[in-house]
Order: sequence, then C-alpha cells, then structure tokens
Amino acid sequence: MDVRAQVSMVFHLDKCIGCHTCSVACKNIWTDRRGAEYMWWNNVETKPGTGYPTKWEDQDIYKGGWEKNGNSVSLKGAGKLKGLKNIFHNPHMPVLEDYYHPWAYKYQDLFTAPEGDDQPIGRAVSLVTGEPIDIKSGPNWDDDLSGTPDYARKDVNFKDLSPSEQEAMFQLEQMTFHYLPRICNHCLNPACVGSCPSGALYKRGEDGVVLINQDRCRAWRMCVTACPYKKSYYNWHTGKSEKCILCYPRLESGQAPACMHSCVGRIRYLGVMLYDADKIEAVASCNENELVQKQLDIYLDPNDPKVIEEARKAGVHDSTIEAAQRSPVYKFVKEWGIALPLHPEFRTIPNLFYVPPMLPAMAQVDGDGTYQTASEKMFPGIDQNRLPMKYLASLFTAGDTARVTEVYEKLMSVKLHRRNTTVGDMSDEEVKELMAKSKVNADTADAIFRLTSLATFEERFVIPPEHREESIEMLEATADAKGETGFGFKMRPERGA
Amino acid sequence: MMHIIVCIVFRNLLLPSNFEEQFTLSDMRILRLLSISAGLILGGQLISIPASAQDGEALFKANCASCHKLSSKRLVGPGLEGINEKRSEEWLISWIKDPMKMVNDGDAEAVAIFEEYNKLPMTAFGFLSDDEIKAMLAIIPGKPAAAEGATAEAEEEEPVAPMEYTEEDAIAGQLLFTGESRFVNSGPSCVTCHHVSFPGVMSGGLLAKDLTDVHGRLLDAGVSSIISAPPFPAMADAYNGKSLTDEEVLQLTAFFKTVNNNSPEQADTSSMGFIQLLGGGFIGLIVWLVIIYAMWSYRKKESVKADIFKRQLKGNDSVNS
Repeated sequence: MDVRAQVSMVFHLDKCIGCHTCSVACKNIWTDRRGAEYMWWNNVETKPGTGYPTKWEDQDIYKGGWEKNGNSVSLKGAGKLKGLKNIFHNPHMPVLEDYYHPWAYKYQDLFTAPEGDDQPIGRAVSLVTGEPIDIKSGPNWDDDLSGTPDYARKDVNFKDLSPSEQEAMFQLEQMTFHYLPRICNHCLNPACVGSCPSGALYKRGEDGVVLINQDRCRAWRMCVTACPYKKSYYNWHTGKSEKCILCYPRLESGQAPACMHSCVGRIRYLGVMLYDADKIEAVASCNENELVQKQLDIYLDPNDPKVIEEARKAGVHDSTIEAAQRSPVYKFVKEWGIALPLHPEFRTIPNLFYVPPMLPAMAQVDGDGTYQTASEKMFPGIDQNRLPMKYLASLFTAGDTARVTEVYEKLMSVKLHRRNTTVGDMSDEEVKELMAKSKVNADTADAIFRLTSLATFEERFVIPPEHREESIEMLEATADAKGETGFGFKMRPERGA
Repeated sequence: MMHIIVCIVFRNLLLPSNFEEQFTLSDMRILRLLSISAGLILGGQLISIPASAQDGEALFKANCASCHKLSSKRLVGPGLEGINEKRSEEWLISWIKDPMKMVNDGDAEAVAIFEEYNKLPMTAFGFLSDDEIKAMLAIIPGKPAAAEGATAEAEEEEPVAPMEYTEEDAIAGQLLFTGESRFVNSGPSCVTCHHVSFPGVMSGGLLAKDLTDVHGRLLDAGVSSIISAPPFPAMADAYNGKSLTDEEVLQLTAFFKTVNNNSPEQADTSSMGFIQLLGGGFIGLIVWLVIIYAMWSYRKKESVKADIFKRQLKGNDSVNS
C-alpha cells in the first residue's frame, strides 16, 4: 500500500445556476493575459451541449485520454512511436476556432468618432491579431440551449440514444438542461503528464495538484491532445502550455480556490482524499463496467487505523490525515456514494466528482390531450426524469445506467425524507420504501441535506495545511533564511504529531 | 589655430557685411556651424604639405605599381607612358579618385577604357589628395620620340613572357590558399577572405571577391602582381610586412589558373543530367507527398465548427441536424 494525499473536489450540479461567476473569478486572476485570452481554466457548459472546446468529449476527433492495452493503458494520441511520428505536427489539436476567437470592442470609438450620419459603434476586434473580426462563436455560445441545432443536438453523449429518444429530448414539453462547470480534474492517472515529451508536467506529491513547469515546457502541445477534458491550453504568446493550477498559492495559504470561493450557488466542495497509489494502473486498465467502482475503491478510509499507519509510513502529515477525516469530498463520494466522476471511461481517474442534477419530471398528457405540467405526486419517480438515464450514464458512469439510477434513488430519498420531516405531507410508507431501497437511513439523509444546503465555508472547504516548509527544505537550506519573516501562510503551519 | 583663421577668412570672404542682420538668431547659429565646418574642411586641405617628387615615387609604388607600369607595357591595367600628354590633369585626378563614377556618369573616354579592359574596375583612390596625385603624375615619363606605330609593333613583338609553373606548383598553391601550409612570412591564408569554387577546397570567406575566375580576367601578370604587392587597402594592410615570396606568388598563380580552368562555368554541363535531376526530384517529391498523405490522412483537418460557420454565411440558412 502506497498511501498518498489528493486534494479532490465535488460539484453539486443541482445547485449550479450557471452564472459563470467561477469562470470570471478564474479569468480575472489567472488568464487575463496576452496569449491566454481564449483560455477558460474554469468554464460552465450547458448540457445537452457540445461544450468548450466544441465536442471536447469526442475522442475520435481529439484523441485524448487512455486506451486499455492488456493489463495496462496507453495514450490514445501520444506515446513514443506516435510522438516520433508526429514530432513536427501534432495532428489532433483543437484549433483556435474550436475554442473561440477571443475578442474585445473598440469602446474608445464610441467617444472619439467624428460627427456623422450614423451612430458610432464599438467594433469587435480580435485579441489575437488586433484586426476587426466578425464574431462567430464564443466560449459559451450554447448557453441555456441557444443554437440548439448546432450545439445541443450534436452532444457527444447521445451516442447510446436512439434517434427517437434523442428527438423526444427536444420536444418542447420535455426539453431541459443543466449546467456542467468544469475545471482540471487533477487526475490520479493524468494523461497530460504521461504525454509530455519534456517532462514539464508533474503531479505534486503533497496534494496531487497537476502543474506545468513553465521553464521545462517546450511547446510540444502533446498535453493539449492528451487531456481528454481539454483542460491544458497552449499560450500562443509565451509558447508554453498552461492549465488550471487549483489556485495552489491560495491553497498553500489556507484559502479555497477562487472559483470555489466565489461560487454563488455554493455548489463546490474541496477536501483531501487518501488513496492507494499502487492500484492506479490496475484501476485505469480495468474493464469499462468496473471503472467507477474500482475508482471509488482506490480511495481509502481515513479513519481506518491501518490506513492511518500506512499513511504515516508513506510520509503523509498527520494534519493531512486529520483533514481527510473531515473531508466533505469523502462524505459525498465514499460515505454516501452520491457523487460520480465525469467520463470515467477516459481512464484518467479524475478527482472532480459531480452530484448529478435532479431535473424536472416529464409533463404528462391528460385524457383530453392537454399537458399536465405538475404530476399527481409532489416528486414523481426518477424514471420520469426529463433527461434519460442513458444520457446521464454516458456523462458520469461510462454507460452504467444502474449506477446512475442508484445515485438518483438516494438523492430522491433525501428529498422525500426532508419533505416528510419539514412538511409531513408525504406518505410514510412511500418514503420508507424508497429509503430502504436506496439504503439511506434518516441520519444519513439529514447529513446529506445539511452538507448540501446549510454547509458553512469551513465545512465545504477542508484545506489541509500544505507544509510547504517541508517541501522547501528538500530544495534549499532554510537555515539561511532563519529568523526572517516569511510569506504565504494564513494559518500557522503545524509541525509534528 | 589655422582652422580658426581659415574660418574667419572664409566668413569674411563669402558673407556680405550686412548679411548676418537678415537672419534670425537660430539661423545664425546654423550658419555659423556651417561656416565652421566648411572652414575645417578647407583648413584640412590647406595644411597638407605639397608632395615632392620623392613622395611621388613612393606613392606610385605603394598604390599603382601592382597594376601599372611606367613603360607602355600592359600589366593589369594599361602602361602609363605618355599618359600626361594623352589626358588632361583634371581628367586624371578625377579618374584616379573615383573611376567608376566617371564610367557611370558616361564619360566617353572612361567608358572606352572600362570596356577595353573587360569591365575590370580600377580601384578608387579617393584618399589621395590632389597634390599627391600630381606628384605621382609628375614621375610618369612622356612618350619617346619614336613613331607610334613602331612602339605598337614593339609591344606586339615582345609579349609578356608566360610564367613557368608545374602541376606541383598548383598543388602547393592550393595548400597555401587554404592555409594548410603557411606563408613563409606568416601572412594570412587567402581562404580567410576569398572563396574559390574548386573541388577539395572548403568554401572560403565572403569578405573579399570570389577568385574562381580571377586568372581568366587578369592572367599571370595581373594575378602575380596583385599578390606580390596588393593594391587594395584592406589586403595591403593584411600583408603589410608579411609579403609573399616569389615562389609563393608563382604557386598561387598556378593554382588560380587551375581553378579557372576547372570553374563550373567552363565545365561541360550536360543538359540531360539536369533534366534527369529535375525529373527525379519531381517524382521523389510526389512519392514523398503520397507517403505523407497516407501517414497523416487521419489528422483533424478543420475546425469542428466548420459546418456551423459555413451555415452562418449569408443566404445559406439550411440546417443539417
């Protein structure tokens, strides 16, 4: 057993209102620079939709992620032979138009235009060339299902749905959408790290944050192709690739990442997970139907004495183990089992989990042919969910509809239980039946409700002390700076047990 | 001191007494600057001491002798005997200072000489003063009283004796040229500044002229005289006090002759070979392009939004869903 710590995230999709505050907070801090204008390390997509960059989930186009290769995995778009073959041209890269052409407006023209017959306008100019451009698309052009024929109908997750099922989703009475905020998953088996010919990408030992060393990056852009989530971006100005850094300077000083801190709906949770690094290869290369379960099994119980002992032996700090015990992510993912990874079939073992959205139930057609938008029951069954389970399974469980249904049953149990507790207009039998079926008892349901709806800042973000002083001691003699005032810690770092 | 005097004289001579009053202060400043600088130039001219006959000989040796003889015999350039009678002094001075300017300006006599000597330009001696040139011209002898025809015949009768050298000399010359063997007086090897196209000789410097066809233009006499006493300022500097021995001059001359005989312009170029090369290259290119196409045919060829953008064009509203 090789126990390591990983800072992981949960996004509660039921709470996301698609306001893009997270994206803007991230943009203002990290990507408001020349060459990074088109990058959105954090972006919010509408599902169904094709996302950003367009059709990023379609690995037939972008060749991202890993493929099962016997008892191991190999990269779909990179590797020694493929790397040599494509050394001068990386053939599956997204082009700028696949993201969008970044632009600004010449606002000054509104004030300085000479008097004329027409109103002055601020023309759109490219942020790349500075020339006037016709805006063709943006990073969230398909927001709230706009441009449905071009975007939503071409969602890659429809591959398992029959044409009639797809058609049904776009009938006015059934049409629905939810948001999917995305950042880098800081995967346990990161394809970007595996693909880099320069060894510029690495996964930090103490918290598992995946970073690109800007000094070593040689602009091969293999990581851009390899990342199946398309969360590694090439900066055309600096000639280096960049990606979400999980705001590690904030983490190191005990603050939540900017996207999470600014989240209006408070949908984001962050905490440490302990995992067994020896199992990574086995998990990444297992059969597709086992992927979710095996991934969940790789995370260890931080309260298990054996795990604690192994963790200490592997050099995980006690304060990190303690943070793992309080981790909200561990609760959502392991204890309650209501959060799922996004596209586990890419085999990168992502550490960002999503609580799937409870979407409005389908309307019913009455005998006289009118649509009854409210069902007879307060909460109709999940089989009447407007988004087909097949679609959600394609997003979260590599096509395993049973597992998604299981999660929805748990979520529905919580809903029914809370309604029954606070209002008391549900039939006790019905509630008990579903709770028994989904194996959620009253205490668990209350705990889920509490962490979902009433969680405080400290409950949502359990950030372990990063102990950078220990990392620094490996690289330089800290005695040289002894007695000087340091920077970067909001909380006093703890030493020893 | 001299400059100041000249400057004052210059101003008093050129400017009417009330002249200054017609100008503003700033104009005056510029004028003063102009007159001072003009004065400096004039002063510089005036203080140079007139050159004597002795200087004339020394100057001629240093600057002219490598290409010109004082007799009527041709070396690289024409023999200068009787030149003072043939051309006016003014013409000679301006010619010596910048010959190509005269040719370019279309002076009939200058163009004629240029054409006669295979468009081989004479070095410009802009750094010589008028007095120095006059001193040199003074030592050039006049034409002897003998009839012109006889002189011409005499010239034809005694052509310049060809230099005697062997293949070994040429090989030794090549080694000297490339620097594989050193000059006795430790002058720099030719390849430092010069290039020749000759098998076995690495490409040389680009600082000075390509010498591949130098022998064809200047022949033995010209080549050897330039090598033994370089007329070009940079080259003269480089070999100042390190002049080549007669044997080295002979060997290099032999080498240049071999190079000229083997130069690509004179090589028998087969047009068939060229066509084969072109055809082979074209076929090779096609084969290579086919391989490239086959190897990378699966690449992502356009933006995934290409069809969306196409639909956005005016007058094309059909939606493919």
